[in-house]
Amino acid sequence: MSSTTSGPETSSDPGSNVIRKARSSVWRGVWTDHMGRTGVIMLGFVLFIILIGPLIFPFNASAFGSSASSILQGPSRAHWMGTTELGQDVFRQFLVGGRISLYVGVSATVIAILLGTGIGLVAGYYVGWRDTILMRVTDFFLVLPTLPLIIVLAALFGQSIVVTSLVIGLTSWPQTARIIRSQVLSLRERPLVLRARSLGARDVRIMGLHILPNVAPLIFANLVLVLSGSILAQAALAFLGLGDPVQASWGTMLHNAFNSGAMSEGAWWYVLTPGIGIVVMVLAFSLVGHALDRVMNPLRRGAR
Amino acid sequence: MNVLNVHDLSVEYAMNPGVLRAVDHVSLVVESGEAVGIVGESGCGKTSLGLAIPLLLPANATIASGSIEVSGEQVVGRSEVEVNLLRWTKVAFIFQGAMNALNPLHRVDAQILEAISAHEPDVPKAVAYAKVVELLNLVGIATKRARSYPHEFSGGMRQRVMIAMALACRPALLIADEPTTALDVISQAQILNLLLELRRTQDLSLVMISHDLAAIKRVCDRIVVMYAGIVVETGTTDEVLGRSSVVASPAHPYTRALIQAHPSLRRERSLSEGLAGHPPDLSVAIQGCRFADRCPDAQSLCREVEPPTITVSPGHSATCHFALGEAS
Amino acid sequence: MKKDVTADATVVLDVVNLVVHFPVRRGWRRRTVVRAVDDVSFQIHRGEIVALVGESGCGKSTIAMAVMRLLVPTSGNIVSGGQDLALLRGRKLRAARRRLQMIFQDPFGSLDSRQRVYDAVAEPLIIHRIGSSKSERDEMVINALDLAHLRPPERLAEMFPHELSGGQRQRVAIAAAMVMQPDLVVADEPVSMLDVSARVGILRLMMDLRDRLGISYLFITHDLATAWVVADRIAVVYLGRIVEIGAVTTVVGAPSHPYTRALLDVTDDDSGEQSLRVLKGETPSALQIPSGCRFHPRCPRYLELGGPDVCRTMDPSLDAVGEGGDDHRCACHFAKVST
Repeated sequence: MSSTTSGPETSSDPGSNVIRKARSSVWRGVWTDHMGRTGVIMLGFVLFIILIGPLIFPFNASAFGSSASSILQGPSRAHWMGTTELGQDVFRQFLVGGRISLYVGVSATVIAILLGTGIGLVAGYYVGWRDTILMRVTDFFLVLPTLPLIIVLAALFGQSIVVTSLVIGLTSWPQTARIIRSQVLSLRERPLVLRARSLGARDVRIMGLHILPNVAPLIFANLVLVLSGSILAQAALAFLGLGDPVQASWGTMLHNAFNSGAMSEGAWWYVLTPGIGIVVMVLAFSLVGHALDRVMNPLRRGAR
Repeated sequence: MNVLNVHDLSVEYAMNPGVLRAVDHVSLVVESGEAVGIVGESGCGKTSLGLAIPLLLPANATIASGSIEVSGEQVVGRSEVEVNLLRWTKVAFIFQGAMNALNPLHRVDAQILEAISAHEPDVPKAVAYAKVVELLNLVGIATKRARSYPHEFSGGMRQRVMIAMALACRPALLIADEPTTALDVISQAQILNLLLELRRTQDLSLVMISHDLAAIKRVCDRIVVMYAGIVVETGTTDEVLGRSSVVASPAHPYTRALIQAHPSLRRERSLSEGLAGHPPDLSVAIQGCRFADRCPDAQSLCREVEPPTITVSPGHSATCHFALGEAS
Repeated sequence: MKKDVTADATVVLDVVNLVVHFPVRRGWRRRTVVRAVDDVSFQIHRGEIVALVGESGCGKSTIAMAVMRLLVPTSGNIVSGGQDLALLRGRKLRAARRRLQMIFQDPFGSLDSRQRVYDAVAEPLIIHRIGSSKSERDEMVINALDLAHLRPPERLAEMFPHELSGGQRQRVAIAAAMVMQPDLVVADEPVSMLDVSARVGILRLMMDLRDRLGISYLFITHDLATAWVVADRIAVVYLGRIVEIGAVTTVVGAPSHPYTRALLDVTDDDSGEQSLRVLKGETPSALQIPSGCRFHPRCPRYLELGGPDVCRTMDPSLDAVGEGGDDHRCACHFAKVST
């Protein structure tokens, strides 16, 4: 329904009002959703630990234990989460390792979103042969197995967070591309795009000015989900020993724990700490991402 | 006994914050065998009024006051189970765009059969199916097309299927919300003819909600004009809209404007004045007449005092200070 | 009959033998064609409003899209301003678009909800690089808004589409069309999604602009009554073909084609009888156009005449009928003026 436009009650700056309202309604939508709220709280907690933690807690992560008796010790006053097989403080490693996981997750996501959006946009807008070729390329990358790819690349270029980010990014973009493409396919039939074409607007202008802003909410929701998947992927790769050995992430901690036989030794603190960390971070992003998707998905938003 | 008796009905929608009163103390009576047309533009409340009768309002709407009696039975305040017994058997509702509500995965005869079984579960399948075919024939669909899927039908034929489905349990009252919108003019005429015929042969009372004056003129005996949630005029279609032998004498300026706004092949090739502006915001309290700021004949009285409902002639009334030509 | 149009400067649009066929795949292998527009020809003169009237799916919107080059016609000529739009590509096509503007049916869907009114109206200026400075463009936008009766234009320019009523949004679309001072405006059902009381204002505005600026319109509508009050000439379209074309008073007053007659019967709101004479059956799909005259399966004249063979076998051409000369044409083997 239309609103009245005459009279003093019309705001003098309707534009910013609209954007402000839109942002707050997204926030409200996520917060009122149980899953979303849980995710936000978990996320706040995790991010606090990772980003602020190392500054507050002055333990030295790499400091080795001074004697054999400090190896694989359980939680104590000195070491809140016990020690590793090298006598290092688990809690400190936990604080530092989270950053690596997040860093790789974010880098991979950036690659995935940029590639996925770009290709999805072009394929969905142009249809025809461009779409066919791009979709075949997408299919190719979709079936590309992450594990063998990273083993090969790690063998060629060494294990590093750069390689890990690249591999995860390259194997994650297809799903984004598909989602964006299907939305663009429907948008391009809308009268507003027809109008822009009838005015003589160039394709680039239409894609950038009319289509992209209208898929932005979808991209954002997808971004958070890809982020959660990337973090999990990174943890899994690190666990298998393919991560960066120098920059120890939570996955690397698990890998070390496994290798040093922590489980059989009963050193549960060494396994549970990074393990729970991974679960909570991935779950947090996943819950928020799903809530965002629910709020922003144009299919659910319905007609005016 | 009247088939429908709506008295002083108000429907409110919960907004965030506050409420919006979409229907404001509206009364409506439909006698047995009558066809009443409710006409108005978007936001006037006609759809909310129609949906309220079988209690099919959306979740954020409530009936704030008033009563609704269908074939003598009170509807307001009854439980969902009780009202369900009335739906389809006493009153049937065809939604706006209903022709698109058919399940594309099921054949048409199966869908009507489902409607019958839902309300008359004891009827044996063979008897029910015979009824399905009878209903389809009644609306002009050949028996051999009964086993088709909805997408094999055109829009007009799908609308006929919806009408057949609505008549499955022989309701006394049929409420149709914009039954001809989204159809081609020729299909529209076919559907209107069908409704006329059904009225005649099935002893059916009809409430037709539409923005199309021509459709209402063709099918309905009486017309109710709604604007911004209230009834502004009611009378026989002959008197309000005119017919070849009767001159149109609408008493409310809005009705007059509406009639003028419909281009007619019979009149000269000129455009009327049209109505500037748009309907008022119903979430804000309005002082005086709701139509005052768009009315070409508005006076200061109109903006201050809410107009009464004045009887212009037997059965014809209008909610306007100047319905009889001068202030009462 | 093709005329030599380049010589006639008053012709703003000359559509000649326009054909738009869409290939369609039915089943696994079979390829067939939807003959959406099947050999359509008509002209629009300067300051003229020509209405294309027909039911949905008859091809009238496809004709509009073809004229605006929103799709590539299968064959035919669309001559405007001395150029054949059907052949233009790239930069030349973009340049040609300056003289042709379009108004769409959906007042909300056709405006980008993220753009302010100012941006929507200024967009054609930016695309075609008209106006050497922002203030010059501002002035053109304000003028266009004022022309469309959106007042005060400065305030309305700052609003978003969802803050406006349907009628106001269409006015924005009209303003955006006018800002380029086009020769021809293609209006595809510009009022059918508006409330009845808002329609009059829009139609009046369009005709006003025609009177003042000499703009021609190709007006697409399914409502014969709207065409009656707005158009100078009417072309009745059925299944991709024009079946009758002529001055509006002629076509409505003395229709020659039985389909026109059928449309008039159902549109006439005061025929006296309660139950109308209505055409039977449904319009066939454009995938299976009947042989010969495409209207013959539903044609009352065909039945009256006992089902003559020629209607089943030969496709009638759009020939002159009556004493109007070339002005009034009808595609019927038995065209005669009926009452």
